[in-house]
Amino acid sequence: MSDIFNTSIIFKSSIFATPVYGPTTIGNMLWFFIILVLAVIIAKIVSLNLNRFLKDRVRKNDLNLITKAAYWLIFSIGFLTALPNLHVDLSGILVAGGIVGIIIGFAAQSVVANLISGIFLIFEQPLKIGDNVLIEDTLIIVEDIRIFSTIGKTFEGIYVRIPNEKIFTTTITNYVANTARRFEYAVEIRYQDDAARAIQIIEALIEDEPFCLKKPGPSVFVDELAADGVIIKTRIWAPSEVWWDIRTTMLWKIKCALEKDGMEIPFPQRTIWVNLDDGDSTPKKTIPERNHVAEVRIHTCKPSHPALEKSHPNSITAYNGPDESDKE
Amino acid sequence: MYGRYEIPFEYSDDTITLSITEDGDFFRYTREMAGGETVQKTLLTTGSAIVAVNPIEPVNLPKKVTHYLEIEFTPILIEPEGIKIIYLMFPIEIGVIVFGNKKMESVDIFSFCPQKYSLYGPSGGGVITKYFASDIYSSPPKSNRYCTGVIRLEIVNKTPEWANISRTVLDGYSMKIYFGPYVSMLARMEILTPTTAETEFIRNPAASDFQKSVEIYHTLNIPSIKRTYLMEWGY
Repeated sequence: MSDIFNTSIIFKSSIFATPVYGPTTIGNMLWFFIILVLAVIIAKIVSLNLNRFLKDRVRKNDLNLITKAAYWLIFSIGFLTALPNLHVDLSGILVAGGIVGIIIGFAAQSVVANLISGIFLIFEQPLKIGDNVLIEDTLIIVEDIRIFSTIGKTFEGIYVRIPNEKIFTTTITNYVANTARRFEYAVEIRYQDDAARAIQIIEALIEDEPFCLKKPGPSVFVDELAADGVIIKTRIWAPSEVWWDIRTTMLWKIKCALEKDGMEIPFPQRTIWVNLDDGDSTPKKTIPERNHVAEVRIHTCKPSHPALEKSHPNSITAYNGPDESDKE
Repeated sequence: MYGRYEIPFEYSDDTITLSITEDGDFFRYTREMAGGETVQKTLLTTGSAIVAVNPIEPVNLPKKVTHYLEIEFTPILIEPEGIKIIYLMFPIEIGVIVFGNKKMESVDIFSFCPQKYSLYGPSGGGVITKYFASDIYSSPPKSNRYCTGVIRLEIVNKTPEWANISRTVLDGYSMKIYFGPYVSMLARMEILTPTTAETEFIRNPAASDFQKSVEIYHTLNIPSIKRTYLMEWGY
């Protein structure tokens, strides 16, 4: 009690009572700064404790917003409490603030645009901290959403700062905003392989993988009878949190399981029709043997090569690149 | 296997070996499964720690992505304003939890049951659930207490219409698991409208000789507030 009394005496001493400008004394200014510093300290303590208390209870994004809001709210209250010590007429500030606001608005149009975009982004929440998003051509993991800009990191670990105005006005693709997402593979097998069996194998693999979702169920079907083989399309849903891990592991598992069952991913191949006799109107179809596909591929590199024309019509000579006769 | 042990301890049967052994200044936790999987962890403790091995909320393996459990069963019809009790199976995850200085931490979680996940609701707003397909029983079925537990589900149809039910979604944060001759949970599902239902757990063991499992999903316990899950995307 005596300390408070002594303090008040100190502030009433002639040094502190000396006016600096207008009625504002050094004592007033000291009070102003003391209240401001106290407000900052209280704001820091409150925001730190809020951070600790809500860390495991609230999403990181919301936690940042709450702690920042608490900090600035306490600081603003402290500032407004301290302001009368400077004998500032708040109504005058409001009028001046309006005019200054217009000037600043024109002068710092982009800054204000970023600020307003930032506020809207915080409320609309098209992205959250930790999300994997594509903003225009930049693919980033969001690290912080600030009032003027959004900070992210590319997959190569490069720091990216994007002004909020750009984010607000451009198309955002958020890869993990939804709880689950789908990915697909096109698995090609040879024509002589059993597609129904391949589908069975793939479905069993998907069933065994915990994070390939039961619902929505996977979809495995023959999608295309392509030039070199049968294309089996595999569509799988996975939790967004782990979809990339699943996507990168499942394809190899499918490949290994199909190969274990004797199926192969086909090489590019061609079927060659050869006229056995000049008079034979029904040409014989020759299907390349599996083990000779690579050889046949060489034969068919340049079917109209002069060497073929010179030789017997039924014989096939390997084409090994241009020779001297080509140059002629 | 279930129970509380003072460290060092060792448990072994045909399928698993669990141990915490002294290794110099450390304690070494080891789990060896029959399939060949081995897990080792080092504990830094004075040796006064207690270890609990019991079934825990089955929503952790192989990686924690959700805290919801979905049990799907053959569709059943329940009459308007009817109350019926059914028994279902649920998957078991076993937790090795260490207690020291009044704090607990799970050292290891494992399961003998295959894992599967699903999506309840739309991909935009739904929730990922740990999925299990079960048959329906009118009395507690026989179960392997290290693989599957038994949930007694009381279904209350509060609507004036017949309700067709084929699944229940339960929140791991309010799960009350008990173990005894088998592992059990008691839950209640109220059908509110033709598309919504509410599920909650009942804080009671199936019989007096059941022990309560240590929960690793904690919430603030406010006695007057029930923790329920609203199934808003159908049942």
